[in-house]
Amino acid sequence: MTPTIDLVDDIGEVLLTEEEISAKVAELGARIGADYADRRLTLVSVLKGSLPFMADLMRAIPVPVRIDLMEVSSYGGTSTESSGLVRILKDLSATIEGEDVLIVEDIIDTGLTLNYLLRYLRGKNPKSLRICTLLDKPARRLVDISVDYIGFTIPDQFVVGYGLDYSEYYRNLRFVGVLRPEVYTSPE
Amino acid sequence: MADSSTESGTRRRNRRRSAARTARARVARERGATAAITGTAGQALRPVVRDPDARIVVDLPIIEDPFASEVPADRPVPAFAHASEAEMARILDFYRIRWEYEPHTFPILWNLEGAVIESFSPDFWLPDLDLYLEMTTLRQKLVRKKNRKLRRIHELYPDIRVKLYYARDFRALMLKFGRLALADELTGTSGQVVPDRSADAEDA
Repeated sequence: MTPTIDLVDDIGEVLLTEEEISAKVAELGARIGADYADRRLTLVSVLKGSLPFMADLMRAIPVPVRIDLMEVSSYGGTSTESSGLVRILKDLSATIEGEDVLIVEDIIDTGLTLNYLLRYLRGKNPKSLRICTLLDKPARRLVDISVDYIGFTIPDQFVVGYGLDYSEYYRNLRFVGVLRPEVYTSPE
Repeated sequence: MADSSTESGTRRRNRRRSAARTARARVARERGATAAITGTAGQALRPVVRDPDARIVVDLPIIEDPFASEVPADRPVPAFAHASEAEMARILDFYRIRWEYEPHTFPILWNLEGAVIESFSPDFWLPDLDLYLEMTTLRQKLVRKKNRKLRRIHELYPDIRVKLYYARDFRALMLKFGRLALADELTGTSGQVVPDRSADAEDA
């Protein structure tokens, strides 16, 4: 059955407003611009959740940047997937060897995906590899990862919007909100 | 000089070949397939296929996992005490985090004669992360007992890192992966795969 999605009623609380996000993105962009002045920076965005953040952040960085996109499959829980070979659904379209690379993430919680991605990208011999995330949820961290740029540290709640989804919906919200538990616990 | 009958045969063959090419192209068009395209990185892609609902599906090349050999498919599966542990092992495998199941036991209580009377064996050892992972998806009473053991571990072995994964953590993980229903199945006593184990054994 197709779930009923209500972009207003399904949100229990607005955690970060559009204005707060915009201000933070501008701040991060300025910091990154200062840190990478006179360097060749490539932003690598991890689909799909980081797309809005990437789009806004790249325009807030006042130095020349190249962009690239990757997509990594998420765990689905079947035995075939656990032994499967496909992890990178969309690879980089250009080499990053010798380049300064900044991974742009929407959220870091367990760190499992990012840990895998870091290992993969390190194998491509970039000059430097750093991480920028809009949201950090340290309470859920399983793999300790040093994050260079953090927009907001958020509490241990399930959030959607500004690229973050539940069941592929809510990505188009302009803010970050806490999804009401009834939405994901209601019987299908 | 070729005779007229030979020329005629060549033309017929050419016409047949041309007709066959035209037919193949028509079938391809009707199936919505187009010629192979080339990506921006010069990487050849498989044909773009348009489905009847006009969605465009691009079948991208399969990128082999460079770390696949770290998790051999024929590795023996340990006898997990709880289904949530088996699920966590699958998640760790998926993300290529190497693990060992209950490889170490830490004594935490001794009697006056010096004999070990209580010990703690964290569920997973993640050597690359230098981290132990203990799953606690059972009843609250047992969670309290496990918390107490963990405090003792921190007192006696301050250098080892143990992450306690509570039922709510496991539930959040399953929610993230869109498998919340599975979390409900796997947590609590219903997730135990060895039903005749004593509470203490489960808690170890």
